Amino acid sequence: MTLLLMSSWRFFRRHPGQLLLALTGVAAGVAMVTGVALMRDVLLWSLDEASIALAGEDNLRISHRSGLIDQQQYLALALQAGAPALLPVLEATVRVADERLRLIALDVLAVAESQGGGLSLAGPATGQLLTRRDAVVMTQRTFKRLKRAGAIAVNKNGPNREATVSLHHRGQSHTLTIVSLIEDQRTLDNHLITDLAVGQRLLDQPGALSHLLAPANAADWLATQAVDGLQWTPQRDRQAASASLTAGMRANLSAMSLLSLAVGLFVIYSVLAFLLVQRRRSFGMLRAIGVSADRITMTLMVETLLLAGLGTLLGLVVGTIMADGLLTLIRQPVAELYQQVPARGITPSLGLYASVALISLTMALLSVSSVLREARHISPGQLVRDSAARAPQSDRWQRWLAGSVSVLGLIMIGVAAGRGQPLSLALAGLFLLLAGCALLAPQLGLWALGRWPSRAAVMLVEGRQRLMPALAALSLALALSAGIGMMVLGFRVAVDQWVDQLLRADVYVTSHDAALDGARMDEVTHWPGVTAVTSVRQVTLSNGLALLAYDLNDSAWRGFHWLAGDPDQARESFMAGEALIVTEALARRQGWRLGEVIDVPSPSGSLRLPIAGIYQDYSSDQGTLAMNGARYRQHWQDDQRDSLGVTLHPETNVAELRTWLDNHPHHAGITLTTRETIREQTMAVFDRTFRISWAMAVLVALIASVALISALLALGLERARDYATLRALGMDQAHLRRFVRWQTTALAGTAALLAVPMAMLIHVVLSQVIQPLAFGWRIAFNLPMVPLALMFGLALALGLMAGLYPGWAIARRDPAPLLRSGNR
Amino acid sequence: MSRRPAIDLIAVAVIALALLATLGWWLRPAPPPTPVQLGLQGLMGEAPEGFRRVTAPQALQFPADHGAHPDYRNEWWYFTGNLTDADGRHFGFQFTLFRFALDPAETPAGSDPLSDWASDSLWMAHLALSDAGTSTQAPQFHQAERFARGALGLAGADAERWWLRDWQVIATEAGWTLQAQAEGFALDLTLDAAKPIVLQGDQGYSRKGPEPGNASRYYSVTRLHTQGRVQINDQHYAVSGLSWLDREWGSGQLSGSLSGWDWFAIHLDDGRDLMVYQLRDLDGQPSTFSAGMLVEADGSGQTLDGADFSLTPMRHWTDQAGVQWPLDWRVTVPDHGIDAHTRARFDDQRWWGSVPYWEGMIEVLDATTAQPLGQGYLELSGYATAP
Repeated sequence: MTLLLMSSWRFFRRHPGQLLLALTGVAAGVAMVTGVALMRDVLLWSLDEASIALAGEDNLRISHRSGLIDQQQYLALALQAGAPALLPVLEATVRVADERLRLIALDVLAVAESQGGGLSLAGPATGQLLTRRDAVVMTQRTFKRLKRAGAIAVNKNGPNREATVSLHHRGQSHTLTIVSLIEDQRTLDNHLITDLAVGQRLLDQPGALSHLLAPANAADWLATQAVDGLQWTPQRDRQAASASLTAGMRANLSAMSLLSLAVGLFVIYSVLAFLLVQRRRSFGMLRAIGVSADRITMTLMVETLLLAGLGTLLGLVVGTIMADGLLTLIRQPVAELYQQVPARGITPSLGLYASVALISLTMALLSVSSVLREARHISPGQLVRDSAARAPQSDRWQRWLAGSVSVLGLIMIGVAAGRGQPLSLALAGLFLLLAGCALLAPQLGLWALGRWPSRAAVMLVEGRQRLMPALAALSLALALSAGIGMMVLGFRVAVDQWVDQLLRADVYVTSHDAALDGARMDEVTHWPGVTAVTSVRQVTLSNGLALLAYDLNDSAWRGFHWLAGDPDQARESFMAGEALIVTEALARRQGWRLGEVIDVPSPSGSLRLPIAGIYQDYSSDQGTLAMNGARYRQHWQDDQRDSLGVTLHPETNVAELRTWLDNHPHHAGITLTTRETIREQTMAVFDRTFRISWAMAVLVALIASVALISALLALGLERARDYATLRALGMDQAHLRRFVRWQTTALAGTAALLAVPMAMLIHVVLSQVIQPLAFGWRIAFNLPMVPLALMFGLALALGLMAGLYPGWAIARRDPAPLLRSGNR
Repeated sequence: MSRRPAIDLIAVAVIALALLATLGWWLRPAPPPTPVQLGLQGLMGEAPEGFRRVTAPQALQFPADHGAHPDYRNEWWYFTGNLTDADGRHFGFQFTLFRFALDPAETPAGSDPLSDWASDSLWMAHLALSDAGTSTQAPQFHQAERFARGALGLAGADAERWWLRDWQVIATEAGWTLQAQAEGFALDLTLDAAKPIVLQGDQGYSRKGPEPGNASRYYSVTRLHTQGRVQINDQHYAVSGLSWLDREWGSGQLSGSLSGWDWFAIHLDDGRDLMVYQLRDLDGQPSTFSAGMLVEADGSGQTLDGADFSLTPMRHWTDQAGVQWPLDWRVTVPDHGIDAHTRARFDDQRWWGSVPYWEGMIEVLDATTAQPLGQGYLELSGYATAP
């Protein structure tokens, strides 16, 4: 055994490049899976972790169904005899530089009483939080990050070097002084903490609280109190809610990490197969001196485990670092989509590391099993390669396997799409379908290459056994990158069209302090140049669903894109207040159908209204239902609006209206936003949301290029004699380098060609099956070609680059000894 | 050549260990959050310009002076008492309301209108119930600490009512009622004054140090007949006994050269009440500003200065944190024929909140005959450092 291990060691000493390539291949795949898994955990667990930090593991969150608690209601509770410790909190997402952070304004003194939680604040900070009107605290990590981003200003001239941070909320800017830094409490990262006295003023919400935190055992006491409109949920229920909120995003991430794992496996196989090819001759010699096939297999397994083990460790470390970077990419979209800021950075666990390592090692052993089999069959003294072509039966068997796996995958996708669930079945189906395609693709590709009348192509086809895994990995990676790109771009087009159709008014009116009630709406109707005004009010129902109350005109009505229901009939019953319209996402989530009668809880009792139409909407994956504004006001006694849509006379422009408003001070607090601005903002949010998809697509492509390089090196070594013959026949070094570059480019081009149908398949399944299952909406079908074109460019560039090193390595060899000895 | 595999092996092992160590570092458990530290000590010792100071005697007005004095830096309302139930089980209680004015200089002037939560005072309440237990039940010390700001009616004190959220003391014709409920224990007591208000020091002007302003206004009601109920978990006990009220306010009354104090409030069975406190300097030696008061059964009081009494620790108890507390004392007031041995009813009556101190019920015995002379409360401060 020592002899064998010594032989392994000598091999790697002579070929440090190969060792590096093998380690990189394993590490890249593991890093991808680790990174995504860690990031998923953040989405799963950390959206609500600030509450745990403040009020302990086991806390209740008391909220009002209107979304805000009047502080009088808090006082009525807190001053009752026997009241539990209640921590009043007002929260909002604010912007600091380009980042979204969560501002938590709380009663600093109540935190001191809360059980199990707390804030580590240095002595005078509590007093300063109470007395200063601009005091804020944050964690050290958040401070460092904001400082790096240039969002912290340090006043060096003042007596005590105060650091300040500027935050923006609803068009207002505020500068706060950082009076202390919180130590070592990662769950409060990305949060700014102030006292309620400061927070209510900053957020312009005097007298308002978002929620109260209470110890878990307060539930019994609360049940005995008159708590009009208040509801309370334990921490674990909120955790579940937050988990379901991000289910769609997590599913997409999981799918991508699984697919990248698949690519990683091809890499592992490709790299290890390459190592075997290089040592075929030494194995033959070992067999000749009496080493049994079993011992060689054992040695290779130990070698594989050591290599994969080291690569896995490296991958875990790189993946953990990478997850932090990926988290920065998703923090903002999460804040925008879910109004919650992931608190901490990633939190690795032993369980996660152990499972990734176990998967990686098992997969490494499985993926080299065919290589090991091959090694066993090296006969004693076999010094030359003997792998010209695989037996046709083997190819047939592989085709049959690929076909069945693909069909099974298609069936699973079909079943999931037909039943509307579950997402995991559709994802598993997609995984199988792609695995099938990846198995089939290289055969098809090499067959096509074989039609090419060129010596270089023929050599490639003869090296099929080496090239097939690399070709599969590369075409799968390219297809993934392009398919994800197509889905994102297709989605972007759909969202753009949707926003374009939806926004019918010229300008939208919102207010951050002035009331937007019916009287104000009448007033707006009489502003100069205004021809029509529509309005919308959004509230959260006691069952947690979002309700929109619309006052619409004909033009605004035409903004809806109907997926079910007759628009005219729907309009009639909606305007009469006799029916609801619901978004596609909500209908799918609730399993509601057209005409179904829905219970809508209102302060004056439950309303039962039928669904008159289902419309397209990409604004929230939780979905909304909508009713007529007049009917809403009748039952909710709420005359407020959140936004007014104003149609202007064709000859009036928005600038004139702004000037007019500026000259009328009683309209202070009113904000005008044009249709174009809203559209741009929507698309900016969209682009940020999908930045992570792009990042992952690029990473997958990079991993695949490792596979390609190793495969070509393997081929180069295996075909060393053929290349030497070419040299002997008069091909000079430069020519041979070009020859190899042609081969790599042709391979990459073939992979790209094969990737085209696969990319389309991925695009169709993602946008027509996975998206509806994950987010509840279908994306209107279109076929963006840009990602395909980019993929071709990328593939050819990769092919050219991947040929550089093998070309150089092959060309510089002295052909004479190779010709004499056959292979080495 | 033969050494090279070993060197390589070591190199690989070092790399692997380094990677493992990195992973291990990420896996280290996060430290649990430590609660807010309020840094109250600073609020007791110093008082910036702008606060009124106690520099001379001044007539007190009742009931107005029962309420808060916001011009001064700090103030407290302090009840302690010894109670027994029908079976002779001993209970001690403490209810204290502290007010600390926050530093006005820190608030930048002329900013936007304030929220209702803005406040210039911080209130803290301490509620404790000492249960001496029975022959089969170990003694237990229950304690709860609360904070609130002097805004929105969350905490405050006027002539009629002293409160922090639902913990409250309400004035009655004969004295006060006290109601407070905490996790696991509660008090509901009626406290009727058996003696009139006594003014400590020089007509309520109680000097604590050499500097002008190292003084407080200090008055007491030394004997309050008390009855009512105490509750521990689901058990209710009908109790009666004697309580003591101390009221004090000032700005920066404790000079920087003091490390703490030992304070005794004793109800003697012969109807007299004795309050003595010993201020300790940084070396632990009694300060010359230590003082006391003996209140006769008829309510007349005599001021004692440091030379009139002696306090000698007899036994120390070490708490879980390793801090030693002198729990048993020899208390002598020779001019009034008092030579007593005070003993803590049980040792662990130590406060673990934001202020570390020991406050608990004591029994008072004749130093020579060991015959019971009375009972009382002992407060030990400055032995432990704040968390």
